[in-house]
Amino acid sequence: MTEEPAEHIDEDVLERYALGALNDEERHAVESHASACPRCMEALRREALIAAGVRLAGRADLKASLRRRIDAQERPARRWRMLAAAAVACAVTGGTLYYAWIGRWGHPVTPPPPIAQSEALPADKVVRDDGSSAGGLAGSNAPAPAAQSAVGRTAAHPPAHSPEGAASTAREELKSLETAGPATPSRVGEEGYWSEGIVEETPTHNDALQESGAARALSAGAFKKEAGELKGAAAKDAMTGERQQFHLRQKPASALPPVVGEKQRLAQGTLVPARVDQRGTTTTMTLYLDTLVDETQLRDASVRQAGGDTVIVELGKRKILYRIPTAAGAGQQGK
Amino acid sequence: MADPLPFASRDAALIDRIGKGEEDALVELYRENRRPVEALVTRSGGRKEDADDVLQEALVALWESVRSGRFRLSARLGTYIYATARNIWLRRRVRMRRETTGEVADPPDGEASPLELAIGEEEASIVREALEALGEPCRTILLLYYWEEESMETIASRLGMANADTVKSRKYQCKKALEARVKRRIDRND
Repeated sequence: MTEEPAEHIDEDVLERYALGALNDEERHAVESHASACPRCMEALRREALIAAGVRLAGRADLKASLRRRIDAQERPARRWRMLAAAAVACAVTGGTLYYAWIGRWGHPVTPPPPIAQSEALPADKVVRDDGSSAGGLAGSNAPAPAAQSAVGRTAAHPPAHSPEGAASTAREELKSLETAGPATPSRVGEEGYWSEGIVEETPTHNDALQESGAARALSAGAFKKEAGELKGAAAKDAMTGERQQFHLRQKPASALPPVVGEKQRLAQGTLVPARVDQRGTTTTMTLYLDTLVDETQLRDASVRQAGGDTVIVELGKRKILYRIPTAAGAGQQGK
Repeated sequence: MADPLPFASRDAALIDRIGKGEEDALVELYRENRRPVEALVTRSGGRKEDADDVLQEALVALWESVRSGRFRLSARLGTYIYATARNIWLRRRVRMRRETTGEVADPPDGEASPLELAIGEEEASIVREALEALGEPCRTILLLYYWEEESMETIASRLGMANADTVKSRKYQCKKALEARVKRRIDRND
């Protein structure tokens, strides 16, 4: 039986060994001594265990901190991408409906006048191009409610597009729009129908790929009209297999959601209701456009910041002022 | 003379920032390396969440290596991170397979010492839990010493303690308290 050495390794040396702070010579000396000294070997093991456990905690802290920083940086970018996608989705829906409308009535519809320049008319004054009263599209025969007809295209109101002042800044636009008066109750648009563009996004850590997947789905024209409704498309990313769902559909006025959230105001004065639903980790942003947009507007659709949490979605000459709701507010709006 | 490694200056700047404790440098590296690591992991049956976790672990390993002064920049930083992530992912896959099939072979680990290898993850987790239960300021003192590898003087300065000797004495007490807690937990588990 070998005798245990009379001297033992100093605790400072043990700590430095556990920290990997000894040079090769010192380390070999420690290991050589410990191999013949059970007490030192046990102390060495205990020291290494403490160091390993504390480092484990340190790694976990750093990982959690890193995750928070990544999330904090990605959250605004994700919102922007969602909004841009929602705007494009609206435009796609509008464009499709525009051409569907041509097919039905034989000639293109003209955009409706802005609220600020149009008078609220009773339902019986709202007429189609063929002279009939406003009614359903896409298989619905329900008449448009009178209160919702004010934005409707009327025979007495030709299209009006106010040219935007090139020099006006986004903040000035914001200010003028905000001072244009309180939001009025939601109204339905063209012949009692709204173009609804919804983008559902489940946040992950690969937004760039999601975005490219979304773009591919849109550019591939993956939407089709079924029984008067534009069904959604599922974009699958070939690399990741991740899916992003789009639901684009034309809704009759009667099918508008009972609770419409924050109203948005077009630069021309038209109100656009918007809604944000948050369910679990999925956020759904919906803009309801009261008019139809064509493919040219789709190509030019853009989103830019107007300061703070406000953005302007531009569809051709039309502008939608959109205020990104907070997470808490979004949850309430969705209820 | 032209720089033989044109990417080196940017990588060196990032390493320098990590050395100073700037976590934002890790966020930059995360963004830059996310796609290749995702491709690596998803190609071999992993999920995006796995890739995310593996990349974060690789970045933490980089941080640890740089902060301890052991890191030497000999290749592109992206290559280093990718290689580290690949090793982590391979080890994880071997462990998953072992858990599924009951294999006992351990994956090779070039960085760990024999002593570290002798310490199981379970034991290290017990220490971590005991550390959390220890509370402050012991938790921070031990983290600064063993994880951040700060000197006694720096710890005294960061925690507003009188001097290095005060820290050394307090650290000793904290370590003994931690060892006692760990021993109790291990005995209880036995």
